[in-house]
Amino acid sequence: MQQQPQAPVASATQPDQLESCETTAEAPPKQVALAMERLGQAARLIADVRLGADRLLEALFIAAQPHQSNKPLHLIVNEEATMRQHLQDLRAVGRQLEESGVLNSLRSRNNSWGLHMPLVCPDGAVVAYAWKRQLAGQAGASAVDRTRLALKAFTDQRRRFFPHLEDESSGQTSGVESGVSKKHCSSQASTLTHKEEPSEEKTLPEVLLRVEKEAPNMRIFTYQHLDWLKRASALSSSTNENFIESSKENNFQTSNRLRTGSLGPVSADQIAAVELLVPSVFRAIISLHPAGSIEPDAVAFFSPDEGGSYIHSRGFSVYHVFRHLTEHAVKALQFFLGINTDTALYNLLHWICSYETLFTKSCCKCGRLLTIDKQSTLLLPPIIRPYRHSFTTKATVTQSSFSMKDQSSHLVPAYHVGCYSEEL
Amino acid sequence: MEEKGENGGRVRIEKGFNQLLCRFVFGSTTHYQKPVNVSPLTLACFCSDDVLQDRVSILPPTGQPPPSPAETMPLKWLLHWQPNAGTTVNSQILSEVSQCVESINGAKEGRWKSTLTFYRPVLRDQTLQAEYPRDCLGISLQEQPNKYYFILRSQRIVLEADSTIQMIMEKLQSYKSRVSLYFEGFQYQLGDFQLRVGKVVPTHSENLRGIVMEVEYLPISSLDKSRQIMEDFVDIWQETVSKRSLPGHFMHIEPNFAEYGLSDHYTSQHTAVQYAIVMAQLIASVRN
Repeated sequence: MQQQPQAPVASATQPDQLESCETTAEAPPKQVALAMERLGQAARLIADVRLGADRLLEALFIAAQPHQSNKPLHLIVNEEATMRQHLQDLRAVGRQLEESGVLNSLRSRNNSWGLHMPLVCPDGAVVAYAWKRQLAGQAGASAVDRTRLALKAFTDQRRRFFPHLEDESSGQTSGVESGVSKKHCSSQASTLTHKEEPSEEKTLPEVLLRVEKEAPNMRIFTYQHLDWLKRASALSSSTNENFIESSKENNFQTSNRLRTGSLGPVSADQIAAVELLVPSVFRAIISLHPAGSIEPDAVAFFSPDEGGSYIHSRGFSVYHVFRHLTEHAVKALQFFLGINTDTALYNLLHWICSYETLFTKSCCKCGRLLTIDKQSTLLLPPIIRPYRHSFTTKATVTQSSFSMKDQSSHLVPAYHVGCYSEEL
Repeated sequence: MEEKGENGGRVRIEKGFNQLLCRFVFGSTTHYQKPVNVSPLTLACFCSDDVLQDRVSILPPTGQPPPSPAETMPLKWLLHWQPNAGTTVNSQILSEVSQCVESINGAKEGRWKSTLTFYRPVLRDQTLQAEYPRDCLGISLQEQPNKYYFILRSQRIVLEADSTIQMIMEKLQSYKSRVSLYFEGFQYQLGDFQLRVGKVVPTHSENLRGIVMEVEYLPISSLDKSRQIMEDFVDIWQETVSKRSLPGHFMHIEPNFAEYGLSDHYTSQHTAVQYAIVMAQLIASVRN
């Protein structure tokens, strides 16, 4: 009770001090600190008011009892003065908080911090420091968003400071352009001496090299697991010109790395997707499982102009011709796998090469290029290339690898869906 | 933006001018020669300053900038209806043609409309009329609402500009639009093909002047690779139409795109050139 007379004095001076400190040119951190302090004061004043109310009740209670002097009355009068002072102080602090924009920051459009500052986040966390925009975004975000942002910041830092880790785990290798493959040969002389002999290839680079020789018009690219998805999404925004430029860039980088011999074997083991591109005709994606092996897993065809994250070995093109082609290719893949898993990839790629003439070769049965397909009532070119007899023997390989590309792809007959029957 | 010429002249490009237009005009170099022919487009764009006329020239088509790489467009053939000698086109033919499309399972999707405008030079001195090409065409295409295309057939020039160029032309008053035509009709989807059948009508009347058809094959954007497919389609189409015994047939004229500086990769500029060619053909057939 003896503290009471002092408290009003102390609290009376405080508002004056606070009001003199308050300016509109405070830096946001200072303003935040001030606001926090005032909130604390307000809390204390509220506590004082509640204590005062308790005391008043107590005094009334005592006064209600008999045999009392006018002590309770004295108490009540004192208490009332104190309470009034507390409430006035509270009002003053409240006004200050209001002016500084803390209480109604969400409503006011021109608060002094220039931000809509949610001090309480949607998930209930109270955030004091939100003066920078970036931090405001973080402060306003929920725990999930904050975690995501933190992870992103961490990955960015890692990418900056540990680039070699980056290359091993998620760099893109565009492997098998002819210039690069020669250098690849020089660094892996032992595995690639067999390229002259028409024996069966056991490793992915060998298979790709052989296919590449047979179809010089077709460009082959290899990707590690998630890199293809990145590339597919980039396809929708990039153009043919940009693609060629960037792939040349990548080749240059890859060839530099291979020349040093440090990353050759590692990258080949992690190749999970192979892209075959015949410019202006089609783009085929084949996935390998497990990564780095020569076992194809799935295959799909797309238009070379298509782009988007649906472009992967199990996706479907938006165009009917490529959708039908994909269905046919899946059957071919199953057939090749059924015969011999070791040669399945080579057979599949070799068979795909024959589709260079997708839009130019007429059907061998009806002689036309376009007909109305009876089942789907669509106009389609001949998309069937028989696969049952298309796995090659040694003799045809040596022949076709030295002949013109036209001849080898024209050797394969083409049929419309409706014109083809199994007996042919 | 100001550019300095070899002989000290300056060219000031008006605010709001489209960058593509500037690039086209100056090609990849900024050398200025004493012109033999001054292009009417340059005239239009640089108003009627006599001094400027002497200091600006259009580079030959080899100076054409490459098409803007942002487009990977499927290729399109433009066919037009050639009525038999002594007959004219009428709306009955148009409805029969639309029925033909539906008979090969074309699914009607919506309307389309493109606009073609003839521009004539406005010259103070009428004796100079012969110096300036009279066939400046302006085309606005449905699929490119933000662009406007100019074609000078006699000089094999095609130009892609921002659609605000029409406003600039009006302000400059050096070329005035004389006649405008609408190409409008319905659009059909046929598997991987997209067809547009349209009538040719002047802006302020309902006289049917002609019938055109756009055939677009969506999966490919290379003219070369698609030629056989498109020829086959046109054959199938001709067969279907001929069953109706109409007085006329559809024709396709293949412009020499290389002369216009266009590449094998299809763009809206190719479409604009095809429209110009078809327009010339329509005019010629009306005269006969």
